[in-house]
Amino acid sequence: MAPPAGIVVGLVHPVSTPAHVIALIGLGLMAGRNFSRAGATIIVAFALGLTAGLGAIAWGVGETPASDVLLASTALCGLMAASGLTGPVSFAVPVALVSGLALGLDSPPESILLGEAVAMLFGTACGGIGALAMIAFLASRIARWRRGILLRVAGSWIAAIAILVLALRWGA
Amino acid sequence: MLLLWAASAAPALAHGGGDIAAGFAGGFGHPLFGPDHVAAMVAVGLWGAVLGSPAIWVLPVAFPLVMAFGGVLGIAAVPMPRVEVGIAVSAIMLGLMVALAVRAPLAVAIAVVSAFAIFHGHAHGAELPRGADAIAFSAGFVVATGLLHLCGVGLGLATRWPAGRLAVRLVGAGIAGAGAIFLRAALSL
Repeated sequence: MAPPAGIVVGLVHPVSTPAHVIALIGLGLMAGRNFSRAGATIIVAFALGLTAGLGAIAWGVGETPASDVLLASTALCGLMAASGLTGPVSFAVPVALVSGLALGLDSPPESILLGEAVAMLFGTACGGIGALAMIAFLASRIARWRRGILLRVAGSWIAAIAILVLALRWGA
Repeated sequence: MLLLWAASAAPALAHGGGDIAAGFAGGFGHPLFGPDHVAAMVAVGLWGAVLGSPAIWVLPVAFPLVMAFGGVLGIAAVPMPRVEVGIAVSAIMLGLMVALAVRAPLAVAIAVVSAFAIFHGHAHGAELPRGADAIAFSAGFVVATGLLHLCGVGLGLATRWPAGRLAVRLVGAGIAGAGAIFLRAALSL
């Protein structure tokens, strides 16, 4: 039996929205550097935040500054990755939680039909968590190569993109 | 060849107009269509390679971050006099660093590169499209800038061989020469 269309739309939502893609990459870079020590904790914190954010959307929460918060946390993750610092878990976990919450709040379903909207939210949760887990795992492999130089370069790119877009939004 | 390319180009093409289409492709092409920007970015990578580790990767990490800061200044319309002159001077200075194989301490190299990154960032920031495609555009031009650094680093790896060292220094001299042409064009604006 084919999955409901809403789930499929939700699954690809986090990886088809540019702001969400760079947020997942930024957080994945940070989680990847900490993968053996705190990777699972960071992913779980993100999952909790994402579930809470999507739950709030389901309960009909109004407009929030979630997209700006998501960009700010992306910039922070990018800077952490660029600096090459692993950072304490007590720092990474709240950042992951806030990122998940902001990503959830920034993912309103594209359907007004209740069943389809719920399926989309469920798909978004699965897609976001799955994508983060994959990026973090990949980043953890790359981190072993040449002292993680590629992660630092990618982190600087992610931070630069997030900072520029934040400035554009606040300047508008 | 670089000199011919520089001479045939209009002055500071990357920073002359703000009509480049939004989206990743537009952002990606933005730095690539500015020979002054291309020359300076390649020189950053080359100089990093000349300096060796850790500068070979620290400079390409530092540049985008400081460039973003310059971009914020440009977006906020903070006045910066003679941005195009600064960009042309960056090509001259960075080209000379490569041509003369200047082995500056890492902190000095970061400071020099960062100072010029502000000019490049300001020019791009002032031209970023205010629209829904801002993320894609920003991603495009940051990635293109980073790839230009990596091109420079790749070319700079030739310094492992004596003939390569000479070739890299010649490329640096070419970039400095092109920068002089950019400077002349910028001063005539």
